[in-house]
Formats: sequence, C-alpha cells, structure tokens
Amino acid sequence: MMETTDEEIARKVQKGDTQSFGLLIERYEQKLLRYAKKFIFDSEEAKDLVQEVFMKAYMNIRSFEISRRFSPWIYRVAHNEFINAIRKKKKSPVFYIDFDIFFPHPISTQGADSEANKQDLKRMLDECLGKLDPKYREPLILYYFEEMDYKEISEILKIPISTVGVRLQRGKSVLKKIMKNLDTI
Amino acid sequence: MNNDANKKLIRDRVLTAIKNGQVKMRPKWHFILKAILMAVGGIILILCILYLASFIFFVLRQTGVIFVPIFGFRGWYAFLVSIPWLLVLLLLIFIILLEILARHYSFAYRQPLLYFAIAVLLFAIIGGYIVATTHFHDRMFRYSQRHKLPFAGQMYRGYGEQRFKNIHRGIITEITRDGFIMENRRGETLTIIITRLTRLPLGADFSKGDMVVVFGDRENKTVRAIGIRNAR
Repeated sequence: MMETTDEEIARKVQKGDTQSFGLLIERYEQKLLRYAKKFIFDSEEAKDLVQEVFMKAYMNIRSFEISRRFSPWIYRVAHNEFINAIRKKKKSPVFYIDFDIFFPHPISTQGADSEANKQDLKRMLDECLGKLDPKYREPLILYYFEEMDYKEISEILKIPISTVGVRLQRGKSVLKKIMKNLDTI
Repeated sequence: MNNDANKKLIRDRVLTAIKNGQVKMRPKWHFILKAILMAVGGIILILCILYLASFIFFVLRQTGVIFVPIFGFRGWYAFLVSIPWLLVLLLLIFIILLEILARHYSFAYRQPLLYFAIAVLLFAIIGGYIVATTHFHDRMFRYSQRHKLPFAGQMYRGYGEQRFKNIHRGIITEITRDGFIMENRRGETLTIIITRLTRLPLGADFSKGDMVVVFGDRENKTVRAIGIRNAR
C-alpha cells in the first residue's frame, strides 16, 4: 500500500485534523534534530528549537501550498528558527551583505560526488563543522546530510541556485584547508 | 530507547500545546491578507519608482540639463553636477526596497540579485522615460506654478524652476548678427553670442520661436555659447 505523502497529511492538518500533525512530527523530528545539532551544537537547545519549529509549522501550516513539496517548507521554518537562535546568541546578524547572491556564477550545475568522496566530506564536516562559517555550513549540511538537491537548498535558504553551487564549492575548499591545518598541528 | 523517549517528548509536548490551545493555527485569511499587503506594497513601490524616474527625466528636460552632455567634457561635468542627486538617491532606496520585498518570491531569489537589479533599473529608466514623454509632469508643473498643487507643488517649482549658471533654456525671440536673443522661463531676456568655437547641431538653422538650450557661462544678461541645441 502506498504511504500517504507529507503533502496529503499537511492538507488534512490544514482542514483541522490535528492528530495528523503528529504523523508529520514523527517523520521530521529526527531529521530536524540532526539538522539542529549540526547548527546549534547544544543538544538540549536543539530539542527546544525543534519543538519550537513544529509549533511554528503548525501555526503557519495554512500558508503551505499543497502543490509544492512539504520538506523544503518545513526546513525553511527550521532554518529561520535556527538563524534567529544564532543571532540572539551572537547579538549580531549572521549574514551580512552577501555578494555571492548578487553576482551570477558559472558554477551552477549540480556536481556528482562519488560515494567515497561524499563519505569523506561527511566525516570532515562532522569533525570541523564548528569551525566553518554558517553561510557555508548550512548548504553543506543540507546537501551531504539531508541529501537535498540544489533547487531544494535554494528554496530553503532563499538564495539563487548558482549560489548554492558556489557555497558548496567554497565550503568544501574551506573544509579541506581546515583539515589540512589540523593535520599539520 | 532514549531516542524513543525524545520522540514522544517533542511530539507529545507539541500535540498537548495544540490541544490546550497554547498553539493555534493561523487562519487562511491571515496569509491571504499578508500576500495582498505584500502585493500592494510592491505595486506602490513600482508606482513610486515610475513616478520618481519620470520626474527626474522631466526635471532634466525642463532645466535643459539632459541636453548638455553632447557638448563634450564640460557638458558632461555640468550634467553630473546638475543632476538632482537627492531624487536619484531616493529612487535607489525605492529600488532596494522593491528588491528586498521581491526576495520573498521564488522568481526573484532563484536568480542572482544583479539580474533583478538590472531589470528594475531598466524598467525605471524606460518606464520613466515613457511617462516623461507624456504631458503628465508638464501639467503638474503648470498647476504648481498656479499654486493649484497643494502637496507636490513646492517640489515641482523647486526642481522645475532651478537655475544653473551655465545651462539656459528658452525661446528665441530675435536673431542677431552674432547670435540671437532668447527669453527664458523666468521672462528674462538673454543675449546669446555664437562664436566659431560654439558647438552647433549639424545643419543648425535657428529661427524665431525655436526652443533651445544654450550651454555657456552667463555674464549679466549675455551668454557666450559653448554649445547650442534644439530643446523640443
């Protein structure tokens, strides 16, 4: 039997079926917790934030268009929540005027990493995530851990698709540099 | 096991909060209203951009500033110095606000910001130029001169009646041996002297009643023309 899609469940919730929202929580809780932990690093705070994400998602679920995919939508809610949390901590904006989104970039197509390469990068990311600028950290997490494509990442971060490619490329280079520095110490 | 406990905890907490009414689903109209307000905001910004851009074109034409860059380096210098920079700055602010508003929509954020900025800028220049070619601002300017424009009257008079020391626009009232006599918008009569160094349009043949822009320094009521061109 075919599993009910997230979008179908979201439609039920929009119509007032509150219990169905529990199903969406079950489907996304672990994913969002993993995403939050890679962002916030504090496990307890990550749990609180994810709870807040689900509450915000419930409050705003009627803004979700059924014709679109639910996954980027809830990740967008999570992204906003996490960014606000970081901003509150640092008491300063996380992203400044970013010329990455201003100019067109030739690196716009989705590259194909080999499985071994992906695993390597995942391991590196796990080790050095905290040292990475959030602007590179987030696309890398979404691409390598959440296995999203460029278009979905573009929707979540609201940045051009070509910029997703640029940030992934630059993020990988920065990551490799950090690893190299760690190896030489 | 710990994972399962977590799972239940978050799920149960959220569902309990929903059940207790601590978290309420926002009604559909809330989002529709928000979308309408954003769209109205966007339309207002677009209209402001169009109005300001066309007003800038009107001011440049009205004062004759738009015609002077063809007179070489000095012309360009006079043009840059005489541009209403405050209005240009205001126009840029509106364009930036429109960009910020549009970033909420996928058609804008999926493309590099530069493309959208260029598109809005082109829209402002082309749209502004087209609106400026209609008689809208001329009519408003005339109303302002008759003090029949309560809100923007001062702005129209202030910008439209600006005087520059080296840009003069007016109607030829008399042709003289070494130039012509011209009456400007203020009703002043200026004597224009044409020398062999004066830059004239190809095949220039000025006659009485022509509207012209004269570029050259004024001394009392005499202007030694560096360049002249028709201003219609």
